[in-house]
Parts: sequence; structure tokens; C-alpha cells
Amino acid sequence: MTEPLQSFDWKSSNYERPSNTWVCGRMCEAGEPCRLGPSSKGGCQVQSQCEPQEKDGKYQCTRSVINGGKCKDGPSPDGNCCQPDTSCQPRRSLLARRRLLGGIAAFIAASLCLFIFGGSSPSSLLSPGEVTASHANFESNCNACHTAAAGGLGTWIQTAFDGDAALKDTARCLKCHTEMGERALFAHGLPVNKLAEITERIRKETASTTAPLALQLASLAGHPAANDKLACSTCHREHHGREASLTHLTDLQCQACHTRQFKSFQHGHPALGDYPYERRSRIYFDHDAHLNRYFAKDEFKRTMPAGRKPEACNSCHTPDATGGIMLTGSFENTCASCHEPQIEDVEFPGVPFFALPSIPANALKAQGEWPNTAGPFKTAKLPQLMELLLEYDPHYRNAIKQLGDVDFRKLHSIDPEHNAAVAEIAWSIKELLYEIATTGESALKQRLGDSSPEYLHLTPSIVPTLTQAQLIWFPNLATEIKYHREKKPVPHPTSQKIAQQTSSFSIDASSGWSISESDFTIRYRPMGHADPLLKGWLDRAIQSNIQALDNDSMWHILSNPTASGTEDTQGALASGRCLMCHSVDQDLESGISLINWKPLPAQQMQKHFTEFSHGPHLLTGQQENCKGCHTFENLRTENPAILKRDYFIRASSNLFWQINVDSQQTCTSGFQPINRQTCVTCHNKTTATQSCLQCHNYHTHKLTENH
Amino acid sequence: MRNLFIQQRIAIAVFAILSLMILAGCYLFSISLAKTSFASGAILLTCILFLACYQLRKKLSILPIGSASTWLQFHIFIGFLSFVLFMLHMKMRIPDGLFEFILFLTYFTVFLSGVLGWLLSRSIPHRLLSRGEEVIFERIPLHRRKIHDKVKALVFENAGDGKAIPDFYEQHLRTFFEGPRNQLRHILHSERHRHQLSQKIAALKPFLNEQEQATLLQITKKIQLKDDLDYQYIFQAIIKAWLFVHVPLTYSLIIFALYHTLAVCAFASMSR
Amino acid sequence: MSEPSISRPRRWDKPFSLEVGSEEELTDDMVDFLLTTPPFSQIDPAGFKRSLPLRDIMKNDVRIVGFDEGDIIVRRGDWGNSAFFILSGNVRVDLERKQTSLPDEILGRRTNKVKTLWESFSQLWQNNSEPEVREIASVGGSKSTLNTRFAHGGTRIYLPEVSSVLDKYRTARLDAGHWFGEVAALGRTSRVATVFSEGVSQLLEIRWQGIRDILRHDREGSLKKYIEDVFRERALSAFLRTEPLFQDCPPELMQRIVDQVEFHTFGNYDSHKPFKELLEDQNHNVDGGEPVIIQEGDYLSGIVMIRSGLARISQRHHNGRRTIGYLSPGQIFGLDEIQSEVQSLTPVACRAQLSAIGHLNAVLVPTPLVEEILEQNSPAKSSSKKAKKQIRATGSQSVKLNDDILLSQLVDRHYVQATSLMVIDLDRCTRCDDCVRACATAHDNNPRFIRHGPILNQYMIPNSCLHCADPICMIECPTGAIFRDLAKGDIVINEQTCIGCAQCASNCPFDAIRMVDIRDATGALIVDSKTQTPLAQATKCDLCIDQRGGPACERACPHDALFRVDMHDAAKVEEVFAS
Repeated sequence: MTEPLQSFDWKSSNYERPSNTWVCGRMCEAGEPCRLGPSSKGGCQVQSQCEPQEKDGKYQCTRSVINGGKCKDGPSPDGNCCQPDTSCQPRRSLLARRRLLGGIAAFIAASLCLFIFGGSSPSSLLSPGEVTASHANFESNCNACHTAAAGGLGTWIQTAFDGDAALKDTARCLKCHTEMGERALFAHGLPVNKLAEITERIRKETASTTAPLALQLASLAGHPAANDKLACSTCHREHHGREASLTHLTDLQCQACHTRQFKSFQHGHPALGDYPYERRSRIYFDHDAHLNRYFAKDEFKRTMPAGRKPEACNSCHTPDATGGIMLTGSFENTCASCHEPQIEDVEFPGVPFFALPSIPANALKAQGEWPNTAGPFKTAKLPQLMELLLEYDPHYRNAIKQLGDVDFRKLHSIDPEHNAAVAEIAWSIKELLYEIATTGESALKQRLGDSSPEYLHLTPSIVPTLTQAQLIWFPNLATEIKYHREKKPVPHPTSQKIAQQTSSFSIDASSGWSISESDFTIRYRPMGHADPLLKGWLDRAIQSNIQALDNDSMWHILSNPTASGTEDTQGALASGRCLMCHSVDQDLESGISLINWKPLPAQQMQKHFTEFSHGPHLLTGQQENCKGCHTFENLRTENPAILKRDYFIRASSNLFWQINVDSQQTCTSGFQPINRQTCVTCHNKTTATQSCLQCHNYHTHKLTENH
Repeated sequence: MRNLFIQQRIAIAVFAILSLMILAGCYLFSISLAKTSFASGAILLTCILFLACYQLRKKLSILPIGSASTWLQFHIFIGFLSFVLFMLHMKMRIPDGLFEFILFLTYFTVFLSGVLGWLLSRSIPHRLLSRGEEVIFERIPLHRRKIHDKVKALVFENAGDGKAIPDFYEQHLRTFFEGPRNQLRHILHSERHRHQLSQKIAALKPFLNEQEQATLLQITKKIQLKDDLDYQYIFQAIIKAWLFVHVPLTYSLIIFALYHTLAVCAFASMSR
Repeated sequence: MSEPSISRPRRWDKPFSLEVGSEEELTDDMVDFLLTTPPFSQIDPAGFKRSLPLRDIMKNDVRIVGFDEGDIIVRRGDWGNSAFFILSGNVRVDLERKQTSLPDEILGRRTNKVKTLWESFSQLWQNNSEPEVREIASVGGSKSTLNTRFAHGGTRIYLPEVSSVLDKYRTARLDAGHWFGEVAALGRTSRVATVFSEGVSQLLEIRWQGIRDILRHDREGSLKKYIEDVFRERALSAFLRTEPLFQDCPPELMQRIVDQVEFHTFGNYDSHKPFKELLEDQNHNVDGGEPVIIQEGDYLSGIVMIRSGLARISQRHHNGRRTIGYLSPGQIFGLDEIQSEVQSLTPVACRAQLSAIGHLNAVLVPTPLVEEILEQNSPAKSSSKKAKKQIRATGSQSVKLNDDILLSQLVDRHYVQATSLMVIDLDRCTRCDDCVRACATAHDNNPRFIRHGPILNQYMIPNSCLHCADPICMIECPTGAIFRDLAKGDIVINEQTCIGCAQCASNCPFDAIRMVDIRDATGALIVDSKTQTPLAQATKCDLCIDQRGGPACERACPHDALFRVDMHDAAKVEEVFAS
């Protein structure tokens, strides 16, 4: 057993002071500490040399015990201490060294922050990561996106405590992203009130669904306030690398704010409603009838283009350039082969533009000749064009005034004292005919006056037909007018003369105009699909208020499912009448009605909350069976009555069918709305293609701008 | 002792629960589009500050603010918790930005050094107790010197007029006694150097007379003593050394963290 | 009872009457006069050894001191090593025990006021950077508002107006012919009350050595009897009742116990001297010089209850003795045996040996009375286990450890003295020195212990004050600068009065007291203006008496490695050392 290294004796071992800053240098070097130890300043305190004291002539060493006691050979005679100076260079203690190191570390860190990463303006060294490729070109310019980057630390601190910093930054996003519109920052870019109203509606109609647990819990965490501005950075997080997606959101995140929450598209997603048939179709087309009857049965085969039936949907419907939507083939390529003939229906007499009312002969004593004295007159009023032209004549006007509300079908049963007025009417008609015969178009211009332009696109012109009619009905009108203007009685022409004259005239129907001698009427028959004349007149008609349509004979005829102009004969539904196919929309707000001559422009069909593209779906080899998604309504629409319910409503007069102008009311193309389950067959958990963003857009600026 | 184990179990359980709660909370807030990085960051910062407070507690030893051992328990606990938070905050991937990367490095060094220190402070005391006399680290040079002096005395006075021992001393022993030696071997618990030395001594024996042999025997004792002292020295040094990484870097870490916070608050448009 | 071997270092080198504070030397004729007056006249000198005659005892261990109106004779809590006998005049004993007793200010004792939160906090920067800085003013004698006057050859503290004190505090009057202070002197306990002179009084002060010898050799034992009677009437029953066994003992029985209890004193009064040497040489056998109180195998005459000092419980083990436990004041020995006797109705031999460590005062309660108490308790308690347990508990009150080697080491090295032993578990300690730093912070940047010391098993016992139950360091302090704090019982050094004589340091067997060179705020050593030698002062752990929240070292240990153990608290000892 060797003796222990250390003795605990109070004399030989004094307190160890690890908390002091300095350690005796001699301790560190040679391990020979002096009892004094260094001062707190790090100086050595060893006083090996003492101040010898003079005592009766002799100097005596006064060195204390602690400093080693009196030295053997005391001080030198002259009173200097004999000891050499044995002071040391104290060292830092462990603790002190650690403290020093800490100070250095802190200093380095601080200077790093200040000079490399801070400075007057932040260097890109501070950037927490690369931005996406699309933003890459101004990555180096922090100031482009960050308001804080405008200045140095001061600005940062200011920004850090600025409540609107986010919005200020967002403003910078919007500098470039102008397409977002002025409401960009509101939820879905919708006006607050509209959002509220939608929310309210959903809340009403939504039965309490069971939201996923995660969402229920998350709701405790609250969500961005719906009705104030959201910073872009709420969803779009940058600096996550070139390839990072800025727009990615999980379904849960989408739903966090939503009133109605559900697990996934597969489970709990609300039904799709009547999507895609949010509105009536532009034209009425009974797919059921076509596919199941006309295209099915061979009897119709001959009429098909090139005598071949369309094999598949895509023989009429082809995807557009983007493949997004399916376009409908033009009339010429798809419908014409069957329906052109119906438009140029030979049975169809045409739309009356000019007619001689039948006036009893006794009403026209010595008033010249009047061909139509017997036959019945079918309409209560004169054709519209004719009226417009007569309106110009003062005689006519006061004649009408005298007669009051005159029904031209009942001129025979009129009491004799009005005969003069009736005669006036007859004369003004003759005058009209005479003027047109003599001056032609100019006469029309003159009579229609300011409102002429809108009527004068009567191409082909009605004038030649009118002059011809005058020659037939009033061969010697000129003389009669002459006599009449001189207030002379008109002499009777010889009857045979008339006969030979009539035979000598031939009626030219190629222009679409026709003179019917049977009922003394001039009619127009459409030359083919999209006949400009009729189109023009209908557009005009629709411009005037809807109620007036009741009295508009032309409107009746063209919206009438019957072949002829009247109720009695029942013709094929899809006869060549314009309004049988083309539906009428009325914008409920503005009250303006339009006839849908053309299919919906493509760009309007995109950019809704929901977006659907046929393209990918067709790629999945389903060209042939569009029916997979588009299934027929099970009701068979052979019975016109059913269609009429959808498509027509009775006019107030209850005499005629009238177009249903409420554009919201459905007239479907005979297909059921798309069923969610159909989508789910592909879009489900397994295929992992059921995220919200698959079909839905958050930003609706395009939509909101278009309307 | 038993209640210590129980304490540990409880601590582990609480730790698991807490970290789960944090993860869950973060997930939920991320659903509602809240900026979870701010939440986790804030908590992380507070954690780090709390951890730093441990140093303060040591300075304030005179205040009755809980015993240091309790503090250490919390220090370790929060330390590990902060790691979870840190991972969460980093989203489990090494940051791209230069500054963030430095911050990341600093934190990790501090954390790892902390863990290391924790393990050391658990393992080294046994070793220190297992060998050599327990001495105060600061006084080791002193003891070393004493031993050396004794050896010198033995060599040059007791050895008589023979030159054998002094030569041997000059050749093999002087350097050994002068300062701490064979540190790596001690860490690896290797006895090689001592075997070599004892072999040399054995080889020397035949050439010595009685008195010299006696001296040599005493010297071997001193060698043993000095070797044990080296052992004490190196391990006491190790257990002090890790703090030289852990503590100073903490200061830099705090500064970086605060700076990072400022930058983030300024740049990440956090008001919403 | 074995005759202890007394070693008397430097006894009577200097008669008591020549020591500090005496008026005049005690002349022979004065001694003669005293010997003719009671109580000494009643003592038979023949009983004394030739080597130690009564006269010499009187000559050397006795002095006569006079006191004036209000002079304080003994202060409550002071460390007494002398007893007083009133020759003339009378004195007042302050009977108050609580705060209402005479305030420390009046008694001129340094009060350790606990720092406020702010004060302790501000230590961070207010602590002196230099080691061991002292107020120079404070070193040169205390200049407090204390009333002192020089009289009767010494500086006295006195109460300004006694009358006010008398009607303010409850006091008892002791007049001529009474002893006081003997209990403290013999029992090695602090003074329990303050005594001041009422009017002019003349007292005979006798050193504890003297009174002890007189007691031992006085045949009639009148003095002994007197002292014991005093103790019986004043303190005994209260003392007994501290022991659960006697707690619910009916007054009548208690009275009989009080009457019949025997007093015993064992061991060498100044045993600290030999045991300091004992510590030096490692290989000593256990009962070396330890007076045996009860032999292993004896039949008990009663249960022993320790009044002061410590007792070792040991058992024969092969050819030596093995320590199995120890008793500290207030603990009892032999109850188990008597209980088993009561149960088995046959005498039971004592299973262990009880021996006194150092100086020991004990009372012996005769067996019959104990049995009576057991009777008293048992019928009521036999049903309820709680009571049984209680009695067991009282029986097993002595501190025991599984590791008897460790235990015997603790006892041999007298660590069992400690009321606050610092123990460092080296299996957990990382040597971070946080304890030392904390200690330094709490003491104006000066550590008050050294983190080195003997190692038992994995436990290091650093050189820090144990705050012994029987503090040897106090015995020879000339100025009483080292004293036991009344409130906390810690032993502290009063810097104002410490003269740096290093007496305590050399007395302390544990090297717990260190002498330091004191400095002024600039860090320069404060030197004695005459001798140019630096002034030193004794320093030691004061258990952070003026800090909030107790010892900083224990709270500062991050690894639960450092403990302060009261060795008389069985539970705590086992908790710390059982592993």
C-alpha cells in the first residue's frame, strides 16, 4: 500500500476555488501553487520579498508564515530582502476558458448574422431555399416579393410587427398576377355577400353530414376568416425548391373552411345535381328519339347523309382542340340530310307578308274593282309588314280610328255606316300597291320612314312580287287611282279581260315569295336553314316585349309544330320551323330574350368551380360508349305532350303554343344528369384520382369576369 | 433506486405523449392552413431558451428555485423534446438555405454534444471510481509533480553510485513522469504501455544489486501511481471537455435562433 | 462500569483563575475558606485519589467571579464548559424558551438573518471577486449597539435596566447556595437559559473537569445527588416523553419512573483527543478504550436511554466485535429484550453489547417499570397492530445498515457525530464542481469545503463541517466565536470575534475547518499592524445559514450525488447509504 497522494490536513490543503477566473501559473506549470493565489485581475500576488523591519539597528525578516516564514539567512544588512522575486503568470481557470470560448462563439454568431446575412439589404444568402421554376428569374431580387427586403434590420423589425405585412407582400404577388381580378384575395375570389349567400344556401340544404374526425378536430383550430382578405402565402408556399408545387392542397385543407365536409369524393361527396345540364340545351334535340328510332330503324336510312346511319356519338360530337368539351357538328353535316327538306317543306305555304282582306262588294259601290269579295280571311289582322306600310297613310289611320278595333275576319258582318271607312282602307291598300308599283323600293323607304333600316333587309326583296300581284289583282289600277284622286266614280272594267290577263301571268317561287290567288295573299317560304330574312324578322320580334308575341302571326307560325300556319292540321314535331329546334333564352335580370341560333361558345363552358375535360376520359378507350356516363332518361319522349310540357307553354290566349322563355327551366337532351357513382367507378381511393383539385378550381376570377 | 426507475418510465411515457400531441396538433393546424412552422418554431425557441436557463440556474444556485437535479431532469427531457420539435420544424429534411443550414448544424452539434455528455456523465463516474486515487482535477499537476520528485529522489539519491537506474530513467521514465501520457490507451482501456514498461524493468533487473532492485521496486510502485493518475486525468478531462462544445455553441445557437425568428417574422408574411 | 483511562494533556498548566475573564488568582486561603463552606464542606476529601486531591481540584478548576447588576452570566445557547455556584447575591434565570426570550441583540450575539430574495440574488454581482474579503472594521472587535463594560477583569455584556427586563420577561430567581449550568457543563450541551445577575452577586465558577472529578470521588455524593435531583425535577420527564414508549404514560407512573431512574456517565470527557489519534492509525480494534455499558449476554437491569453522546451497538464476530448499529441522544437500548421477556416470561440475555463512544450521559429506566409500561400499552394495543409496530419502531430506533463494514467505519471515524454529514456518491458524481461553485457563491465567492476526503465504499466524505452533535471544535475557542446557532442548531463562526487562533481547526478531527488569510476589498492581505503577519480566520461550512433554501451544495448537485445526512435520523441514513 503506497501512501495516498493527497493529504486532507487543513494545513496542507486549502480551499480549491474552481469558480475563480485565474489559477496560479506555477500550479499549472510545475504544480507548485503558492498559497496566495492570483488576484481577481489575473496578477500574481506572491510577495516572496518582504519589507525587512529595522529593530535596534538590525534588519529582520518580516515574511509571514503564509509566505514561507522567516528566511534562514535574513535580509541583507542594508535592509533588502534576500529572496528572489518568484512571481508567476497566472492562467485562466477551466471555467474562465469556457466562458471566454462562449463569448467568442457568441461574437462570431452575431457578426455572421449582422454582416453576412443582414446588412443594409438582405443578401440571397438568407434565402431559405430555391423558388419554383416560374419565379426563378427574379429569385435573386428579394424585394420583388418581400416588403421587408426594402431595407435592413430596422425595416425587418418594423415589418415583423406590422399586422398587414402579409397583405403588403401579397400586393406584390398581384403586381404580376393581374388575371386574379380585384377580388383576388377574397375566398374563391367571390364577393363577400355572394359567398355568404352560397354558404347560407348550402347550410340550409345540407343534412348534417359526419365530417372526418381530423376535420372536426381541426375545426377547433379554427380556419382563415371567410370574409376578409387571404394572403396568397396562405396556400402558396414558396422557397421549397424548383420543382415544388405551389398549388398543392390536401382535400382536408380544402374542406377546412367548407360548411359541408366529407371524407372523400368516393364517400360523402354531395351528389352532382343535374350536372352538366345546369341549363336547358341551346337546341332541342331528342337524343332518345334519334338514337333509338331514327338511327335504329332502317326506314330512315335513306335520308341519312350518304345513306349511312351515324355509327357512334362522335360522328356528331367531336372534341375541341383542347379535348375539353365535345362540340356538336354543324347543321349542314349532321342535321341537314333529314331536316333541310323539312325546312324547304313544299307543303308549307309560307309566312304571309301581304294580304287583301275580303271586303263585301256592297261596301265598295263604284269604288273600282276589288278581287277578294267572297273568300274567308283567316287572320284578325293584316300581316305586320303590310300594317307598317299602311300606317303611313292618314286615310288609313282615321279609317281604323273610325272602325275602332277591327277584326278583318268579320268585315262582312260590319254595319253599313262604316262602309265608307272600309272603302278607305281598300283605297289606301290600292294606293300602297300603286306607289310600290310605280316607285318600287323608294316607296317602302318613304313609308317605313326612320324605322326603315330594320325592315329593309328583306332579301330577296318583296317589291317585284308586289308589283306582279298588283298586275294580277288590279290590272288597271293606274286609271282607278287617277279617277279616285280626281274624285270621279270608277268605271267597271270588262270581266273577260281579267280572265285572259290572269292566264298570262306565271308565279315565280324561286325567290321564296309566292302569290296565292286563292286567298289573295303574298307569302314567304324559307329558302333553307338559317334563312336570313326570317331570322331577321324573328330576332326583331323577340326584341319587342314577349307578350306582344301572342299577336305576332309570324311568330306563331314559326314556333308552331303544325305544318301549316294554323292549328287544325297536326304535323311532325321537328318540322322545319325555326323555333321548333332553337330555344329562346331570357336573361331574367335584364329581361332581354335571345334566340339561341348558335351553340354555346366554347370558352364560356370552362372555368367554373368545377372543370371537366372529356379528353382524358375518351383516351381511356371509351370512345364508343359515351353511354357509360350519359345514360338516357328512362321516360320515352315519343309523346309530344311531354316535350311540350318541357319546351312549350300555352299562350295566354290559349290558342297557340308559345316558347318557354325561362332559360333556367330544363329542356334536356334526353340524358340523365351524370351520376357521382359513375365517376367513382374510376375516381376512387385505389386510383387516387379523387382529390378536390382534380375537378374543382379555387380561383374563379375567369368565371366571375365573364358574367 | 427503484423510484428512480419508475421516474424514468413516467418520463418516457410523458415524453411519448407530449411528442404525439405536438405532432397531432401540428397536423391539425396544417389542415386549417395555419402556418404550423410558426407554432413549432415558437415552441422550439422557448424550449431552447428554457434549456439555456439551466446555465442560469447554476449561477443562481443560492436561490431556492428547485434543486439542480430536478432542473437537469427537465433539461434532458426538454432537450429531447426540442429534438422532436426541431425535426418537425425542419419537416424532416435538411434546409437548403445557407443560413438555415448553419442554424441546423449549430443545433445538431449542441444537441448531440448534449446527448454525448449525458451518456458520459452516466458512464465515466464508475470508471473514475474503478482505478486510482480520487483527486481534484485542478490538482493533478501538483500530484504528478510530487510523484516525479519522489521518483527523481529515488533515482538520483537512493540508487547509490550505479548508473543503471538513472540511465533507465532518462531513457524510459522521464517523459512518462513529466506529463499526462498514454491518454488514448487509457480511453481504450489498454494496458499495453504498462506491460511494455514492466517488461523493460524485468529486463533491467538482472543487472542490479540488492539496493538498486529495492529502489526499482519502489519506482515501479510510483509508475503504477502515475499511471493511475493519468487514468484519472484523462477521464476527468473528458467529462469536462464536452461542455466546451455544448455551452459555447449554445450562445451562438440562441443568437442564430433569434435572428432566424426575426427574419422569418419579417419575410414570411405571417400576419395571417 | 469500567474505569476510563484518562489522558490529561496540559491539565492545570494554567489555573482556571488565571484564564481570561478572571478577576484575581484564587489564593490558597480562599480555597481553604471555600472548603469550609457548604457544599464543599460536606465532601469527604478522603475519597479522592492521591494524585487528584480535592484541594488541587478546587485550586485549579475553580474561580470566583463577581457580577454587577444586569451582567449576563451565561447566555442561552452558549457552549458551556463550566458550572456555577452562587456564593452571594442572587441571579435571574430567563425562563422563556420561545421568541419571547431575551432578544439576541441584548445578549450581543451575532444574528444570522436570512438574506432576502433580492439580497441573495444580488450576490451574483455583489460578491467580492477577491477571496476571503472581510470588513476591516468588523475584524477589530464588534462595534455593535451592544452594552458592554469592562469590569471584574473582563469585558461583560449587561442588560441596561434589569427592572424592565424583569417585568417584561418571565424569570426565576436563584439565590445563594444554588448550582446552575452544571447540566450544560456535564452534558456537553448548550446553555438552555440565559442567566444574569440581579444586583451584585458573587459566583463560584468551576470547570467541567473539576466538577466531574468531584462528582466521581465524592463518597456521600451529595453534590451528585443535588445535581441529579435538579435534573430530575427540571427536565427528566420532558426528556423521557420524547421517547414514544413513554409518550402516553400516565403521570403517576411517570412520577415513579422519574423518581427511580438512574443516571450514568460513561467515557472520557475529552475523548476527542484520543480519537483524533485513533483516526491517524488505520488498524485499531473497535472497543479500544470504549467503556462498555452493557455486556453482550448480560441480563438487563433496565433500558438505557441516551441523554447525550453516542453509543455503539456491537456483536461478537469470530474473535472480534462487529458494529451493528449505534445510538444517538434520545434513543433507547434493550427494549426488545425486555419485551421478549414479557412475552416469554423468562429472562432474556442481551443480544448485543452497548459501549460509549467518547463521553456519554445516559439514564437507566429499571426493568420492572418498563414492563409496567408494556403492560399498560399491551392490553389496549395488542388488538391493534399499529401499537405493536410503534413499540417495534421504538425498539429498532438505533441506526442500522446492511453493510456493517461501512457502518463500523462510520462509527469508528466518528462520522456518526454528524448532524449534517456531507456525502458524495462517487458513482453518480461527475466531478463538475457545481457544489463547490454554489458554495462559493453563497459565501461571498469563498468555498467552505473541499471536494476531497476519505472514501468509504463509493461514498466520499468531503472535508466539510459535519455539525457534530458534540462539537469538539467549540471546546477551546477562546472567544466563543464558534457557536451553535440557536434557531437551526448549525455550528457557525462569528467573523467579528474570530481571532484566527486555529484552535478549532486543529481540534476538528475531520479537517472541516480551514484557516484563511483575510483580505480587504482590494485583495490585499490584512496584516497585523504590529507583527506585519497576515491575519487569518477560521472558516467552515455554515450550512448556508443566511441563505434561503438551505445548503446550496446539496441543491446545486445536478446528479443527485451530494447529500447532507443527519446521522441520527435512521431513515435518512439508510436511504443514503443503502445501495
